[in-house]
Amino acid sequence: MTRRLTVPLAVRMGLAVVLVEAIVLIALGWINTRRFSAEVDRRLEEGLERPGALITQGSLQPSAVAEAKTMRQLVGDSVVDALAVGMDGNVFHGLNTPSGSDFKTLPEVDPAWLDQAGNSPVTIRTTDQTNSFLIRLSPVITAAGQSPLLVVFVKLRTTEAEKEKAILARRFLLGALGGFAATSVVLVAIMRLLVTSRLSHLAEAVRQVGTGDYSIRIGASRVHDEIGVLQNGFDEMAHQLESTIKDFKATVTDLRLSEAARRKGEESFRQLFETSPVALLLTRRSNSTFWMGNRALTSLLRIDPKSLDGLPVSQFYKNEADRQRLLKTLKEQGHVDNFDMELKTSTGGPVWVLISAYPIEYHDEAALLVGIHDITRRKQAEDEVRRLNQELEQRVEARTAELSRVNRELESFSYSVSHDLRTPLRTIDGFSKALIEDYDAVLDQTARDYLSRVRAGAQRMSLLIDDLLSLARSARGELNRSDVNLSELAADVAADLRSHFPDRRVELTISPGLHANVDPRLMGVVIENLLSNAWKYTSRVAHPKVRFGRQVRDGEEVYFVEDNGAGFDMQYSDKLFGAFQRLHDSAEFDGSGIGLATVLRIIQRHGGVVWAEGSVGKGATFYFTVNSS
Amino acid sequence: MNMDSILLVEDNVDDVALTKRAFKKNNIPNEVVVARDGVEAIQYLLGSGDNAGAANHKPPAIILLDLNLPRLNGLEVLERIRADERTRDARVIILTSSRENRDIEQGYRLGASSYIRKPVDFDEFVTAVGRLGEYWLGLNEPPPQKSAA
Repeated sequence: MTRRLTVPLAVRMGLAVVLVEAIVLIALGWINTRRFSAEVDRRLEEGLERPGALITQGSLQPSAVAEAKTMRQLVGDSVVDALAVGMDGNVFHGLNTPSGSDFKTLPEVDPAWLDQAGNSPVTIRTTDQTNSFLIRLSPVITAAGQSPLLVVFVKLRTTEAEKEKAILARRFLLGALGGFAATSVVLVAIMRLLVTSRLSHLAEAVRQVGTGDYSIRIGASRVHDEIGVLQNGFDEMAHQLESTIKDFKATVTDLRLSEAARRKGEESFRQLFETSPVALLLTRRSNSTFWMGNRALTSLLRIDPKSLDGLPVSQFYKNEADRQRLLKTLKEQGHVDNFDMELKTSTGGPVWVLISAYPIEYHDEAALLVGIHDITRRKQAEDEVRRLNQELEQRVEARTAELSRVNRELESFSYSVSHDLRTPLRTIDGFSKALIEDYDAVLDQTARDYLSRVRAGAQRMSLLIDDLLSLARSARGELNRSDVNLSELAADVAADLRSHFPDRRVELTISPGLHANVDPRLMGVVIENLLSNAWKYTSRVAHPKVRFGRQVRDGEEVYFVEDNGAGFDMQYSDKLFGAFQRLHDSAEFDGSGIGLATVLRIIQRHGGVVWAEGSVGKGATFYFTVNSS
Repeated sequence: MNMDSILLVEDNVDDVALTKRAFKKNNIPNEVVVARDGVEAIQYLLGSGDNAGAANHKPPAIILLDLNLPRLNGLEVLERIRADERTRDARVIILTSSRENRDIEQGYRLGASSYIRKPVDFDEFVTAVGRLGEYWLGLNEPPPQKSAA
């Protein structure tokens, strides 16, 4: 932009004023000069005419023309010559020309003039080298219609008049110039005061604003004119500008700060992104391509970091179905959380991952921030666990099948024991008895004794079989718990015992109202075993006493069967509950050695414990608990 | 006293001998017909196979049924007896070695009139058979006899 020459407003306005003034003054000067010149000419002409006119009127003698004083009075000091000339050219009188001269021979005169003047006055202008002259020839006519008697010739020098005119014009010009200069100065001063100073003040203010100083104010104008409005407008504008600029600056500052913060954030994000142990990926949503990926990602997917940008996402899906599923979830939920799927690396290897994806805006572009967690090893471990579990299940199944097969076998075994083992015993016993009865005559005492022993053996074996079966039964079958009145159960067992051993007198005490949540059949076996043991082992004391009751030990309900019988040595108490373990001679106390083993098994199946306390000859107490839950 | 025959369904010859001996000891004179297994028992009672058509003998006063039998076992025999109109009301006493609960339960559910366990002690067995005869052949009033078969 070219800088144009700045012409101050004051100068421009001054010039305009000067121009107008010049035109006006020149016009005035010209008019006045003209008027003055015309007046001078008129005065000269009047002077020229005056002698002729006076002579015509008869108030002046033609001879007066020769009187210098008179002529100077009438015509003026510039009179050069005055003549009274007859029509024939004879000069009657002359001021500076001698009388009697012939007019027609006079220098600087045209003889024709005389003839012309015979009819009407003639005015002629002549000049010589140095001066200019005005000549008038006025005929003197005494009566109308008569020819003139003479002609009055007047010549005067106009040089002075012309000079006067020139001087006047010069003076006028000078005066005009002076006035012009003075008024110009005044006008410019006034304009300065009223307009330009205020304007320049304004301009300065504007310039300052231009340099960035928005605090400048002109102040309210006292003068209510356009400039005043301008000044007020300027202040208003400057104020607006200042606050706007301030706001703008604040905004810019904010922007700068936020830009800085953004940059810092970006930096942190980059750092976080890059160093995250989780594989992170940024994809463009517009075309589903990779954008950024951290080290964990490039190593996971085996990508060269330099060629990552722009890779199509679809390249890494192993299964199209997974991709559809992922996109569907993303569409429905807006994001994806821990999406379990299989990817393939750039070399095609499978990778099991958990994917989480959140849409974000990155550099004003819709992006997807994807976290990829490598769970290949976990998956393998899971697979291994699953495989092992399956194997285990198969094994358990096999074992269970084996177990239930064994159980079934055991069951059929006990069943057949129950049937088939007893039948031969019955044969042995029955035919031994038949021998004794039918062959009584041929058998001696010893033979009969032997046969009795055979029978006793058979019967004892029958008992053993029964007890074994009871033990086997107590070990299998379901535990059907219900509320059982143990006191009643004990009373029933005692009634059986009394009828079975009608000769025995046993003092039996049963605590009433003992209830427990147990299997009634199995608990019956327990009480039967314990009470019959008590019965059995008190058979040799004088006053047998048996007590069934309940006490609380360590906050737990404990049932007990107490007797004052043979007792046992505590040293062997651990053998009490083993199958076929006996602490007493069978000759002394009959028994299979299976009863307490059965009790132990049943109590264990109830989640309880059983133990015994006693000493030889001082009786025994059997305690048991049942977990009632 | 009911003098009709007694059908003993028992495969073990020893047991048959001992049972007959026990009857004798209790002075029970009724004829004892022995069926050696379940099929024989059904043929005797209902007639089938070789013995097609109706049985041409008087129905027994009581049937003593062992459970552990070859071919058709005791419970199956009982089921068939109860299923047939002709023998539906017959008195069937299970006489067996078993004391298994499931046998006892099933026996009664299938309509056994009584369940007696054979004791090993022959003296006890004789007592049991005596009481059995006393009750089922003496005290017990049988259902009215249907028209002669």
